[in-house]
Amino acid sequence: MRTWTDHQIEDELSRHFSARLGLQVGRAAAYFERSLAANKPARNRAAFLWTVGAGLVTATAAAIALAATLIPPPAARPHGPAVTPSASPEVASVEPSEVVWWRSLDEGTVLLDDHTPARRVRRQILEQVQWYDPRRGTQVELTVPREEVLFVNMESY
Amino acid sequence: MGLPAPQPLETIADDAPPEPHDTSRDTPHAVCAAAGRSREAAGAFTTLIRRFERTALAVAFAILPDPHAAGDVTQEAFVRAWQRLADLKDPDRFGPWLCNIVRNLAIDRRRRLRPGDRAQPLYEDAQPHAASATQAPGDPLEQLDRAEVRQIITAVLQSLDEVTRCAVTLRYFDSLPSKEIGRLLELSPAAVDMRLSRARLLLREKLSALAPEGTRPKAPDQ
Repeated sequence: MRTWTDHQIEDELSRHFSARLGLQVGRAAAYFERSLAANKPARNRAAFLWTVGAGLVTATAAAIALAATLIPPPAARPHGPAVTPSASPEVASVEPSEVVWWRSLDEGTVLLDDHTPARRVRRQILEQVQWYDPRRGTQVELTVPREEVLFVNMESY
Repeated sequence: MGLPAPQPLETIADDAPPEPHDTSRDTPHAVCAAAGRSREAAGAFTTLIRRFERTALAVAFAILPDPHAAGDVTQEAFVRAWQRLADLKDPDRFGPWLCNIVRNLAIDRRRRLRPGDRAQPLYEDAQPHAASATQAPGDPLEQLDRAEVRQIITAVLQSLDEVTRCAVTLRYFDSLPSKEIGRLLELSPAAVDMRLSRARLLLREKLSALAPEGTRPKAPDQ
């Protein structure tokens, strides 16, 4: 029989675990840094897609709103023979839109779907469009509110 | 309940290992405070990994038979923790929260083991220890003696229940005091001490059966 003290047993256990697991220490930090570096393009891409997507949605909404005002509402069709439209309708001359007011609201840091941090900026814009409607003989002025939400990637590496 | 502040050795249980363990784990707060400032948060989290890596390894190794698999699970757990950091409501609970992630990943990994692998005993000691593999060749009898001790420790650890094995690993690999082990395993410090004491007792019984030192026959060339 060999006598073992508590101290010896504890030494043996410490030596055992150090021998088994010692080589594993340090892997996690290196792996974490590698995975951060590997995900960096993905983060940039995600923020870019968010920005482009939000811009497209607002631009489409603005275009639809503009088109709805430019296209005259269908006139009540009278019963009887169809009315032939004018052979040479004058084309409405639309002037380029002009930003008359805008502001950017910093809404702070948010986490995107992939848990990467990004700064959310809400941009509110008032655009004014003017054109001459030859059918009515009037100058029309339209102010279109537009809102964009931008996700700015927080570049840190 | 907060993470323990740095404490002097005297306050650690009597059976604590001789080396002090740095328990000043206040970096979860730093990570949360830096949330949103990506560079700072990642830097703080890397510090956090270094502080908690041995804890995570210990928990994983108590469940998985293979040290490399335990390392795999540990590194994956930290990435998972980083991704889910927003779910951590209380930075003081980072340790137990991380241990839960490690435990779940390790259990998943064990479940995915093939049936043949499952039949292998936990803590299979098929490969020589890294330390002994790098040692210069010494006395063959001494090496044989060490191999026997290793086998007994492996067998004893394998015979323990998972919680006790985890407590033993946390104590003797991560050098954690009983209070901290209890916090991680949701046990009282007294319960942790009892489990550690039982494990040591069992190990002493098995090791005592070894031939006394100096009673082995000498090698012919010595």
